[in-house]
Amino acid sequence: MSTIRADNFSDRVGTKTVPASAVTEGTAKAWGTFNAVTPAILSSYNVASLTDNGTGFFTPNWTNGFTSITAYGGPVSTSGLTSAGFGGFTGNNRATGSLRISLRSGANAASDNNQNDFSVFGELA
Amino acid sequence: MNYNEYRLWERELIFKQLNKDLPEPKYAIVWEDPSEPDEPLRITVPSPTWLAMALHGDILPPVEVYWELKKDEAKPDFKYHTKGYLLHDTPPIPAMTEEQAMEYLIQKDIPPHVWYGYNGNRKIIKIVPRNLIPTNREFRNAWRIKQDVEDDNGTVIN
Repeated sequence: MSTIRADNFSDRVGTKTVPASAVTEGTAKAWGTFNAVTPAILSSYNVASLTDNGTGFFTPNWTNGFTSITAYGGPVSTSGLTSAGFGGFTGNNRATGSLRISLRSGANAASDNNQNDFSVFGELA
Repeated sequence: MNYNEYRLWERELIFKQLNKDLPEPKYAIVWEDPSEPDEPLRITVPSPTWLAMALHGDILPPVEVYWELKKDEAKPDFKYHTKGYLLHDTPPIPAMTEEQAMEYLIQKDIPPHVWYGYNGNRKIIKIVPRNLIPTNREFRNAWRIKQDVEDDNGTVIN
């Protein structure tokens, strides 16, 4: 396997540049989409399993964990069949090998929604 | 393909490119946490990609690697992992059956006090076919593992 080592990446004409660290830091290191009703992981990367902890609380467990408990996180989106709710990674139950997701309905009740998506950024161990 | 040459997270990227149609897992793990007796039953399901890699073999590290990392993380002065290389450099384990993969997952992703050293008189962990898990989520937070009553031969009598 080959590796490209560079300080920056640029477009063809060199007018727009990003540092290589922005690419490595800004790339999702884990992501998943799951159905909280069944429950089932529909598609994922770097997710070994998903634990259903009860209504509206799920824990994805990583295949390759992260370096630090605090230095990683990302967005969560959730929706039922006809309307969206909101979700996020909780502040407690954080570990380098897993994070807990809270899913809520639009009315702010714990909810098992059909379509849930997350992505995680940070440094892999 | 010699996955051993690559880091663990790279192996999955390569595996996903080479294997598009992955079967659905047949089993799930249902478990109760004895340290949180009022909490509902948990259900742990594997990801299809992870399970396919476990069945393929020569990709995943031994489960002891995850234990070692968790031991470090449990230390009061833990800031960040310095033994991440164990995930990538430890020789991967050979192909598993789906049952073996579920047992591996128990030891990897479920707290040890659930599956090791529990001395209570309840069954608190089971590997079950996924089609036995209710999809009607009513009363989800009240779910518990049914406690079978068995005779001396292990036959369920209730």
